[in-house]
Amino acid sequence: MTDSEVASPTPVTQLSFDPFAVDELEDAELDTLAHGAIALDARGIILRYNLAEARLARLDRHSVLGRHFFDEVAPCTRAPEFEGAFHQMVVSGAERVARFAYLFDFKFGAQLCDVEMIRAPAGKRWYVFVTRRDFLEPRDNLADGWAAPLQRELLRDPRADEGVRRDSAEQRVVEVDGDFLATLLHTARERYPLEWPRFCHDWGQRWGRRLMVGLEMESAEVHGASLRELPFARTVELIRNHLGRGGWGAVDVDTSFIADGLMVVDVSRSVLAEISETGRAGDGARGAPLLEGLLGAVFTHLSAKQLTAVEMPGAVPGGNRFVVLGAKMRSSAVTLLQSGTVTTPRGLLDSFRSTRTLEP
Amino acid sequence: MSQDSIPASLREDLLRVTDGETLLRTATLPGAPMRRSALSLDPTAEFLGRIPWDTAADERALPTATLLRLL
Repeated sequence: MTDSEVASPTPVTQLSFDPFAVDELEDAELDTLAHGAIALDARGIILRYNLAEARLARLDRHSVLGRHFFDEVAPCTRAPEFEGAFHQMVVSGAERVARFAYLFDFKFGAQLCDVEMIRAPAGKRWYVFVTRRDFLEPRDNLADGWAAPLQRELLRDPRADEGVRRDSAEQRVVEVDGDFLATLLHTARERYPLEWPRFCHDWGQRWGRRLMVGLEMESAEVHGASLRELPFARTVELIRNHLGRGGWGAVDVDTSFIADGLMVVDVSRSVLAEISETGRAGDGARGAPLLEGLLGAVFTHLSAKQLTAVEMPGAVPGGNRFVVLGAKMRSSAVTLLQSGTVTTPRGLLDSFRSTRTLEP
Repeated sequence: MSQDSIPASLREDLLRVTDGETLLRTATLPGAPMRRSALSLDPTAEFLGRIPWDTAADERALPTATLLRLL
């Protein structure tokens, strides 16, 4: 074994990101990864814990930060091939431990995972990356204290969760009422009238990326497959159910034009459209940039290429219609749709074709 | 078309799709309605080589990533 390797070298091919660049990511960016990512110090104290890991371990990150990963949060990793390899990597100065399979025991079930560990290039931080492969029933006859604790067992103060609401994955949720959103809208419009549409678009994009991490975890746990692998109809159903459960509106996707490079998404009765309108009813300048950002991020994630959503103003009474298409077409689509000369997906496609015909 | 007459490559594809039964039914039932399908419209699509022209399956039963490749 060399100094730079603890186990046999295996190229990191299954992670969808460069693990050695992760330490430079902001926490919000770390939360967009669809793999568990945990940063530890040399002793094994948790310094960072991303959204995917929190959801799949069903732990609140604020409860685990500052705790000892091997002793307190994941005692099922106290084995030579996991904790032993970590400490050997730290002591030897090795830059990584090659990927290995490991069975995590939780009280709600076991998870078969691929694990990789690296040393951050810049500082004294080490990262553990966890990719879930299979979700299993809880194992019987485990030694006491071997399975990872539940969220409530991590609380040092029994009252620490008072006033906190959690979903089935133990993630903190809040109920947002119409007054909260209305006051947000009025304040932002008054204070930042010009920046508001851009703000909403960026907000929607960031939310969409995090939403997809949550849905990927749900998909892996329930269907044993990523959203990209699921039949399109089922993926849409998951998104529709998630947004519908939250009261964010009803989503319908029409793929009739997909062979021509365009998809139509209708969002009905969405409060998100109301809070991010860029104009007043009847002034011809309505738009829902928050939903545009959200849908663009959702379908970009699913297709693994840059897609964008553009609203078709006034196409659906009581709702919002969007076309989803390649990001390169955004500027043309916005121009055509805002001019009012194009009002249907077919019209938009015809305009694209005639434009191409006119090009030299 | 009976299930046996489906090329092995297609059968594999259908099995891989979680909701493969939908595709199989659409593809194999005599007189099944032939949909205007994304599959039959883009002869350059990568997966055409694996799914016969006359399958006319419901594109929404395809894996999400496969379908969205058309955008």
